[in-house]
Amino acid sequence: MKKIKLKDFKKALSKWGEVYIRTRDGFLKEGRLSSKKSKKSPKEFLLPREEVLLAIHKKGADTEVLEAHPSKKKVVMGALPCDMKGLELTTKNFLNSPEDPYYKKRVENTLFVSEMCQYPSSSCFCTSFDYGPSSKMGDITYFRLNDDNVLCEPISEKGKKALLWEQYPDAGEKDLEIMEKMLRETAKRLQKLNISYDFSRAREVYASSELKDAVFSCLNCGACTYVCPTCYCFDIRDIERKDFVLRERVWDSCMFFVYSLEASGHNPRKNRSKRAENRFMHKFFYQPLQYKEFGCTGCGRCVDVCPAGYDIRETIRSIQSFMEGKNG
Amino acid sequence: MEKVKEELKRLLQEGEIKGVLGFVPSSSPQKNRVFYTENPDDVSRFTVSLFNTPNLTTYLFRFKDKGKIALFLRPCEQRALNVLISEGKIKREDVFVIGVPCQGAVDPFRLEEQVDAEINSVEVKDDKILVNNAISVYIKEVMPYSCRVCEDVEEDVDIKIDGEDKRPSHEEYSKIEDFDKKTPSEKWAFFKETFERCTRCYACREVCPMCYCEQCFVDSYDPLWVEPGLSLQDIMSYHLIKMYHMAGRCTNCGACERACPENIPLSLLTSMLAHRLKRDFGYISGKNGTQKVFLGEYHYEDKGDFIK
Repeated sequence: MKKIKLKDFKKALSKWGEVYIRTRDGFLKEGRLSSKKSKKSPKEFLLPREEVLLAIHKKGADTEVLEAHPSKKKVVMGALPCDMKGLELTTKNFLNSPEDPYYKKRVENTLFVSEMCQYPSSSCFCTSFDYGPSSKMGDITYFRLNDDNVLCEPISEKGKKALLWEQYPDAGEKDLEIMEKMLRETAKRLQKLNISYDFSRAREVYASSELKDAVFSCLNCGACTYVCPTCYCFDIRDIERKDFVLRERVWDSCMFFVYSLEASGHNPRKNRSKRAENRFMHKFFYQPLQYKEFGCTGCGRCVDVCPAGYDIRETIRSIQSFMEGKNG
Repeated sequence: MEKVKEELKRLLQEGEIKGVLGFVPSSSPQKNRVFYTENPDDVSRFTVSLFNTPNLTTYLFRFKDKGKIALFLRPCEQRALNVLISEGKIKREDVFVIGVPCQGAVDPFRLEEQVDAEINSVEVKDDKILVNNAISVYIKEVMPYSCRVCEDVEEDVDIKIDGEDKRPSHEEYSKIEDFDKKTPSEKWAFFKETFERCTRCYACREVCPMCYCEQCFVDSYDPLWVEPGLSLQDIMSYHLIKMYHMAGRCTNCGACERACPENIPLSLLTSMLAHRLKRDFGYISGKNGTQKVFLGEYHYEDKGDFIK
């Protein structure tokens, strides 16, 4: 690992692209690097809240189709392991065959510089999954040694090429020891949940009263789905402008009534609790079944943002005891 | 509170009520969790505090024709119930109202913003909240504006929790009157500054007992009333059209503002509705369950000077 002054590190990264740093409110061009997780995950760098996919230009009787290709190079600095884990999961969805060309282009144009986490909060439970605060993720990873210095190293090829690594001094033994110690202490402060689910029992869980009771308080607003690092649902709409029709991709949320409304007028998840149950099932059963990984990273943002005081960890526990009860 | 809990337990055991809807402590001390139970043994878990965020009448729609449900309601929330009764949406006999003495309701997200630290404990001390045994915050500072201008209700409760009603001092809508004095461009500047943060998560809609439409106008594709993006035009279209639908119905309970993760002062809009309703028509929405719906009646002496 190399030891670099935070100021120099940021400056060097700005040569690759525009640097967005982690602030309390989100990843912004201005502001100070926060010592908390951000309220919003950085998923919008790969899947923007709204994005024009193509424009149809009306020229008299003719039309011209203009495809939008995102081309701006951006550096996402200070994404925490939970943020990176979330992006890993959404990437599995978008770059699986068939590849999403818009998403792919954004992946190519973004340099992810992750920060090993020293900021556990009471809503965090990342160590319940197969990674933790010391996981080295993204293109480059760093550890914030103090206010002025970071220890960092490249991970991907892109990360190796992004900086002239040889010019920086290697981190000293002492600095590395401090890092190990701090990261161990962070891990200790994190809540670890026991999640050993038998995915083949998905139907049984979905039909259970335990799940229904656990999600009762959910109001079905979209707040959690918007801050979640792994929620990637979107809607495509055609928007009319004077000489254009814009085909836009916008975020959608499985919490909304219209999300599952079918053209016939039938809505399979008309019932509010069914929508909340489905979200849990998707993260903890369907996604593991399809991608062999949980669709939750334990970042705890949904707990922080919920206006009804709903805590997904209570549902996780309740389903765990349902699993054990029925087995035993 | 203990006497009320004993009574609720008895009512559940004897089958006089089907279930109880209320709040239990959650993992975040600044916001309690909504909880429903039909089990008499669970009644002891309920808590009544400043940190009960949503308006529970919203949840009543889930229990339509399911029997009598008991729920904890503050005065403004009792007024919301009254509106729903006069709109024919809820039957009074299906509800067992537990009156809650009120001293306002805390906006959990505003409290977080004020203390700028993780909240591990909260304690109410007179007119202040002590956070993490260290930071003291005035309750008034972390309440929606609606709590400062709340109106009385003609009480119609089935049981009442003992305790002093310590609602914050009445400010007679001074903030609204000040807002009225602003020029249109100043008003727009205010909207731009405060509403730009909206992510359109619709927490304000979902938490609102008056938003019971099966399909909301913003969710309509054809016609497309409001585009799905985040331009200020779309955001304001959503909020202002929602306010049109609230006129004469909203009881200014402030649940929308407390639910907003972005700390948008939504209750300024709802307070404006309440202010106009009172000033121009002497009407207080949901004052009782028998008065007619505001837009459902007229009087010869009503001001008609807006029709030219």
